[in-house]
Amino acid sequence: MINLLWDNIFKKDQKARDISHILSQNRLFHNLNGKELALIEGLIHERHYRAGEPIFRQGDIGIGMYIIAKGAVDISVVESEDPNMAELYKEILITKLKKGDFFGEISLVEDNGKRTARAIASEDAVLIGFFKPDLNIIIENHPSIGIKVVMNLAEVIGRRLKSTTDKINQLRNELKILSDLQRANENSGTTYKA
Amino acid sequence: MKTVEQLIKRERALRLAAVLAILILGFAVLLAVENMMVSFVLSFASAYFLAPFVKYLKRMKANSDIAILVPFLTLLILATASIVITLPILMDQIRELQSNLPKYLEGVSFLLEKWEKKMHTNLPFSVKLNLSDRLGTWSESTLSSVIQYTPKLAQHLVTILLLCPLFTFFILKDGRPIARKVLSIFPNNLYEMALTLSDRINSQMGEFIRARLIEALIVGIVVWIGLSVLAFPYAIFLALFAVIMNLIPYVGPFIGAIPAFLIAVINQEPSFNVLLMSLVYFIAQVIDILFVIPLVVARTVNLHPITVIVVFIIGAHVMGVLGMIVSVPVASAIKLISLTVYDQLIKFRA
Repeated sequence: MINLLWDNIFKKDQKARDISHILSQNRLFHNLNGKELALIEGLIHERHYRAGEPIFRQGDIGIGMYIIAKGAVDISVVESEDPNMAELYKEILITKLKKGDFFGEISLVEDNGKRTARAIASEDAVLIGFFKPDLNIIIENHPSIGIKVVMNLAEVIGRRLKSTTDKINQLRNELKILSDLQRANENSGTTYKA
Repeated sequence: MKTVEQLIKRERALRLAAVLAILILGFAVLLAVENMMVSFVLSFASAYFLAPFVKYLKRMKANSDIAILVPFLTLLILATASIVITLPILMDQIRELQSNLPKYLEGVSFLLEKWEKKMHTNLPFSVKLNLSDRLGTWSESTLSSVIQYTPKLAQHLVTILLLCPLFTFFILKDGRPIARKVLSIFPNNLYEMALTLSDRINSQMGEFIRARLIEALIVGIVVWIGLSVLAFPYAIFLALFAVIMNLIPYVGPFIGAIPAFLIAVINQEPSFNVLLMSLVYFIAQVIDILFVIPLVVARTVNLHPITVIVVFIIGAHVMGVLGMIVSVPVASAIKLISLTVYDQLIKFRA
């Protein structure tokens, strides 16, 4: 009985330390001090998901981001989720996220923005939810912390935007090379025919 | 062996049932325990009223407990002081009104009789309503029930006055953690929606309650100062009546002014005094319309005039005078909550 009690107390303490550690490692909260992190800990939402349980669907209204505290999450894009168009249904796995990774942060700044991908727990997972109402509380009650979090969020979104732009440029270049090759092929075909 | 999908479905259903059970149980306790509902509603209103001050102090980096205690104690001291200061004056005015009541009832009855006679002469086929006789019977029965009910009312009032500060403090201190605990029971698929919904209802209810309170208080202060300057009898009593009635949209301001007009007519005040008295009520409404309403957006949840009348009648029928006062703000709150719920459901489904 005593062991069980002590185990529980230490387990709880360990869990809190884990969450605190995960938050301190996250890009959004990495430059907050202990007191500021404690405040964030009081606002976050711990959610448990079974393997295979959806976290959100593509097209849902999103209100915030999730940090993976335990387990793994698959992010995928679905071509059509309309049951009447089952033949169009095609799921493309974009990425597999693991402990410490985070997703859905754009919803923190979007007004009624829709989720652009689908998130499913690929194994039993514990997620830390940080949502728009929580961010608003920080901004209203503790503006100095709010500014830090918002600046970090802007940096994360900026980085993602930059990496997306890089990818688009890379794809554009690849497309250009492909079209050049195609044109060259067509030209050589015409020359040959001629 | 159950599949994961079945397990998830079962867990979701259980969580939803638990949330509903907690909400129903909470509501049943509020309804079943005497004075609980009124104390709770008043405490919520006080907490919403104090919330911006708490927020401001937190922003000024005050400790969380101090940020709650300072506005809470300030309101408590102010409320106690205003009760201590105004209660003797109010009691004097009520005693005076009580001794003069037969005179006023007689006056109103005389006026009604005169109007009815006039109406009957002009419209000989009109039905005789015997309004003055009816007023006599009504006043007798009301007075006897008021006398019977007074000790019980005093008992209720003391309980509410004791419970209200206690509840207000704990709503300010632990309201959010308790709400978060209840929210955490929601199933995963409804969690984000429930969180947004509670956040929106919370902020809109706050705006609505603060707006109504500030509006009613400003009207009351203007009426009190105005009538006191004119040395009109029962100024504080009439101002208090105007404050309570102003909680009712559309008809409230008019009902709030009726007793003053009746007193003026029965006391046979000079026309100039009646004009000045009307001006006081008019200025109160002008300040309300020009300055208060544009500042508070909560008017958008106002009910349609016909709904107000229907709700008012239902309230009066079910809970008497208290129902008349409470029904319209409660109906507005219900409308606000339903609109928010509907809005969110549509958005989340879109």
